[in-house]
Amino acid sequence: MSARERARAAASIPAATAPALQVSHLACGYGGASVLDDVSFSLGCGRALVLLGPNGVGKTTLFKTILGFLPRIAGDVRIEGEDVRGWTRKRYARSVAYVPQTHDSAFGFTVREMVLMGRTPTLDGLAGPGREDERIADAAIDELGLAALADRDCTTLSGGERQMVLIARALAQEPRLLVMDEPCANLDLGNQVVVLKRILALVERGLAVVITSHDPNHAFLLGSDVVCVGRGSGVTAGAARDVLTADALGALYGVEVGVGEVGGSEGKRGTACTPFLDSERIDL
Amino acid sequence: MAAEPLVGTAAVARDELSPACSAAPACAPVEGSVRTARKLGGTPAKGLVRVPSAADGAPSVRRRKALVLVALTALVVASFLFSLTLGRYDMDFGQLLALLAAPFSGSAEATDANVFFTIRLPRVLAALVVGAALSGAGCAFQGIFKNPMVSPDLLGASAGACFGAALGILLSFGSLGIEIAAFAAGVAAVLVSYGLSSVIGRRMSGVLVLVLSGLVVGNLFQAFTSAVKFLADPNSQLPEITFWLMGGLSSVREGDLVGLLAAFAVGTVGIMVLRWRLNVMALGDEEALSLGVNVKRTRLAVIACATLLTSASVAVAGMVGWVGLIVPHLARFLVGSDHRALVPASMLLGGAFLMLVDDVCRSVYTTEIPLSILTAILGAPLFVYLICRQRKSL
Repeated sequence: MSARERARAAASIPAATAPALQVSHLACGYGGASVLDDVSFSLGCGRALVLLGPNGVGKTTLFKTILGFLPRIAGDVRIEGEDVRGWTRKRYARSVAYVPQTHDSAFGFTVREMVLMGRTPTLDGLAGPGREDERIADAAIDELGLAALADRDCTTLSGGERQMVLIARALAQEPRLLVMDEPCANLDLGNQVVVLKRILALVERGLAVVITSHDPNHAFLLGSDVVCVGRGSGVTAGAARDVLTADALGALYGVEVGVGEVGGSEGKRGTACTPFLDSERIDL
Repeated sequence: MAAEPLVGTAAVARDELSPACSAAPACAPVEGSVRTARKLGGTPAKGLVRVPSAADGAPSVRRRKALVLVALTALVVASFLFSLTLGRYDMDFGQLLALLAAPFSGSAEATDANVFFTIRLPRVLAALVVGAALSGAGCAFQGIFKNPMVSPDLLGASAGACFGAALGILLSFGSLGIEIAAFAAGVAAVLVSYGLSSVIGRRMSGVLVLVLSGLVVGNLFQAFTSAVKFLADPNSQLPEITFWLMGGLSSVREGDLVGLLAAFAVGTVGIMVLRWRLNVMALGDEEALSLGVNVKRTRLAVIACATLLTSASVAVAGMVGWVGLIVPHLARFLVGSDHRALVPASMLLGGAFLMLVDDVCRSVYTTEIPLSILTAILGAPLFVYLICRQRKSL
């Protein structure tokens, strides 16, 4: 216990000053051949960042490199100001939680068991989770409004519910940085709103959140920063409303895109983008 | 569909609120808070009413699993005692008690003691240990390979052990020599599988390459076994090999137990220690990595323990199919997928299962029925039934 607390206390020292995630001059790819070069951006605590880009451009590669699943070819990744070079998986998992896009387990773990697995990186040695871990997991389940589903088999849940379970598991991990792979993929509009609101709530709690998405509207909705990974055009980073202009989106996806203000009831306003079907494909 | 998670939560919240409110009259308006809960995307409104929490259900789940494990332990003890009384030499519970008390009272019949300690007790113990070992190994393999259709011989442990035993018989080893050869060859086959997979699969998904390597090595060792059979003396050695491969516990004596129990103890401790990690491994490599687990090292440790269990079992009992595949499935119906309860439940259930199957083997017919015949006859339909049940629940 004391070792665990000490580790946590030590981890919290640089957090106040350093950005949650800092990527500088990163080159990443498979087996030494780089797909992306010279990627730099940083993300503060209590901020969200949406990673945008067309299919096959290396978004996933970048994403996996930040998570430490793939070795870096060049450059640095710093998490809470610490260079991740030489970090063990356990050290990684104490700062960074990962919410995968889909989870198709062959086994019917219950929601409670699934969320409890988030406690694994904090366990000493090979021990299993204890009562305190169960309490933290149950709190995460409650926080996401999953209490009624706690003993349900995850494989019987809907896509939106399953996404919530994975977010709860990530919360039980008590990370500083949350990395989500297309959290809104395969979700209908209503469930997308539920998930995005949840992400905003986490950001307001001080978490740094990185999500990948195929819908630039998610960046508008979150009011987040974006990193656009384009084909050949390199990487642009900045606030969504500055970076995601009609021209930039058009160049990014190779179609004509319109960006504009949309009004709702009671004076609600939002920014949205839409592609045009009759647009000529812009040659890249 | 859109609001499914929210409505589900809110509806249950309403159900559970009414009794809570009647019990505590100080509770605030129910309707309003439920509506808030729905509006906030399932976040229960705090403070107003006692909100149902995930922690409420935890003790009952824990109690249920503990109860199942106690019941399974009782089943093992009952099957053990029952099996000890069973056999061609009649022995009732009274004689059994007299024998167990003999070291203290010094009054037991010599024939009873002879039959009991040299033949029956070793045999029943072997059935218990082999059943538990194969089920535990199967459970562990299903976890690390993320596939409930996997059996403990996936990486060639059984095929290797069979080859080792056949070779031992061909070279006219004694019974202990045959066992050692079988155990060594079983371990060797898995080492070859693992080595092959790390040579060819540096960049590919670890699990897939491992399964394919296991397939190759398993088939190769089966061919080796056929070669040994081909070379064996058709009048004496060939039937011996054939019977050995069918599996059975009739030749187990006290001396065989030492090695089996040692391997069982090491393998079981290993898998029990790693059983929380098995849960995380079952999520897949990337998720396990993101949860701080050293996937490669954990997988290697689990494979080592499971191989120890499987090879030692096959060395003593020959080929005993189906147990390692079926029993973890049955256990999953009883305690769910959490390996913390699943591993002990599988091992207990497997031990009881094999003791009872062996009882049938040695008592229904004048000559003994080979163990693998019966496990297959029982296992195959049971497996089909389990698949059907699983399909219905999905």
